[in-house]
Amino acid sequence: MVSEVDRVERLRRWLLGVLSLGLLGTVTELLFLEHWEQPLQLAPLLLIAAAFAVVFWHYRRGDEKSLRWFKIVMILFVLSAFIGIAAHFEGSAEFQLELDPSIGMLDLLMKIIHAQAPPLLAPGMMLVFGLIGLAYVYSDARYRRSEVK
Amino acid sequence: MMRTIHLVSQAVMVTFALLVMLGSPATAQTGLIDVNMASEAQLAQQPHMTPAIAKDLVAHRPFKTVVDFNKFLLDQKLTQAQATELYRKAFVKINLNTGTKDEFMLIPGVGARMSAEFAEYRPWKSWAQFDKEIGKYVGQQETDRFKQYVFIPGI
Repeated sequence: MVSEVDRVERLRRWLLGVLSLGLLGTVTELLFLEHWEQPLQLAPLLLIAAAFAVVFWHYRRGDEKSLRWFKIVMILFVLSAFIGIAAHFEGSAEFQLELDPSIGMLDLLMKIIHAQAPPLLAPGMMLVFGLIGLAYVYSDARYRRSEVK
Repeated sequence: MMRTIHLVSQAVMVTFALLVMLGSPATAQTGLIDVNMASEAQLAQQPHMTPAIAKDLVAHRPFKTVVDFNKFLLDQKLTQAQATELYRKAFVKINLNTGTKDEFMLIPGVGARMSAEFAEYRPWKSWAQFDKEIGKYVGQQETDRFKQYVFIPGI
């Protein structure tokens, strides 16, 4: 009979595995895309590097400090998603406004949504990763018992 | 029965031929005039051109680049906006692999961002490559329009 605690821990390990796999896939794609033309484009690469570091640290130590840093990095992931979507929107808008400076807001929005590059919602992956990471953090027994502030 | 089928098929073919013929002038109108090749009469009919400017233009040909052509037009007292309007009808094509930012930015609808993309994907080797790389930013319709203003050497 598997206890509730064991079931949660098994689920948490899955979350960490899914997160690591997703990060690995995303960083590979970003490297192939040479996602570093502008300084802001380095943000997801640096955050993923930080995430790998805290995942490894937490996997080895499993202490409260590493968990707290894990949470900080995941919160940054969530924030970066919104910044990334805004940056992709701005980048795409630049192309459309060059073509037609008098374009209306609704038309501009539709063109940006339909443009293949920069992909408007691609930074949303950072939001998904951040939320998976936070689910891992807040399902920790110490958080469940409110021991970690 | 056979005669009816024959008549209907002939009518369809005639209608198709008429549609093609009617469609041709519109297609031709979208094509750009090469400033270095067009006749003086053709040039004189373009926006903001006068017979005097057209004559002077022919005397100054060939223009090595569209930047030279732009300078000529500004010297003729055309404003940049008028010149840009003219470029929708007549232009000096730009080599995609050697064109400068200043040249690309004279293409109507191209600014610093798009001219950087034109330069980034060099060397351009095929139109398929151009369709793929530029189309993802602005769609196929605009990509096709840009293709009128540029050329890939050897293609």
